[in-house]
Amino acid sequence: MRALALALCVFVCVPQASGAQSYGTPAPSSTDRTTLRNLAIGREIRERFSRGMAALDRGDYAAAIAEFEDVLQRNPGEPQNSTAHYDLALALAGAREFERAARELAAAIARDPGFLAAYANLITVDLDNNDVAGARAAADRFIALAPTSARALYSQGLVALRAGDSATARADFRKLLEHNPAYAPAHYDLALAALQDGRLDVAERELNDALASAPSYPRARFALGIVLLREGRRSEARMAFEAVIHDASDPALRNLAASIHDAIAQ
Amino acid sequence: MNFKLAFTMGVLLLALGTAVAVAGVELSPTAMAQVLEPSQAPPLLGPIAVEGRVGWACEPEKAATTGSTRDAHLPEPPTGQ
Repeated sequence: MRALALALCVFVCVPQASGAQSYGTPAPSSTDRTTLRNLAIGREIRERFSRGMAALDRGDYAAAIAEFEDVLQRNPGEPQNSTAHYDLALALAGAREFERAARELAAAIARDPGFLAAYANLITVDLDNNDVAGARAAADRFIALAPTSARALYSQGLVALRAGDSATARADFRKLLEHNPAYAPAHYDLALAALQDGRLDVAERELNDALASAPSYPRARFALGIVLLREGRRSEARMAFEAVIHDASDPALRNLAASIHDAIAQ
Repeated sequence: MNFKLAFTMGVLLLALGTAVAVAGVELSPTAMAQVLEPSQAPPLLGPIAVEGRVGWACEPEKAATTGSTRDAHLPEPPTGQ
């Protein structure tokens, strides 16, 4: 009886396994005008995205702006809407229209509040536009959404440093260094935060750490020379400036180091 | 440069000013501000395809999320600058 029940079950459950031919789902077809129109718009949006990205790739920002604006005129749903705003912002930033780029990134975030790449780019665009307050607001929201993100920590630390908030800058760069202890720019920025607080000892330690990770980092070497000079260690400072004169490719940095070096030598 | 940034740089230059005085060197505050500015802002993350940010292949969203400075495309430690 049990064997009969089992055989019946197998027969009911897998009747087509050996005998029936399976076919793929047929392509949707319709003669409904609205459906056809929506399909056409969808195809056009995809094509304009491709063309916009190709234009971005070759640095033709005007063409990219036109393509993404056309996409947005068709008011697509998500995720295409926020993505088009994001890509349009990239094209506008390439064309150095930073205020418009910031507005487009804000529009992307309004449609998709968890869009982390949009927050990341909004901070960079605001900093390019010298809008430290805007960058600060974006950085605060970014780090609230992604507290362990290296980009969020670095960005918020950098913005805080520029805004004179050395406590936040210190906390962010320290947290970033927990997972990336050899990241020299974070050590350098920590040194600047320490200088804001008048902590020459901490600044010196962080600059030495930066130089241990990146020995050819003349800006850090220059800052170390200034700290050593401030501490009255003139011969060590002179060596630091000599290294800057030797290594730096930036003429402003090299000339400044040479001026101080010559003054110490006198 | 806005007021707050100018103030910040002013505080930094004040901290360093004593050193400059010790050295007996006449230095332009503008020049000092240019060389001792905070490190570079991170570069823009790249474009996103029509499929949107959700999914394993969205490189910019991954870069915004990762805890690694390298994968996040943060500025490399500068050389020569």
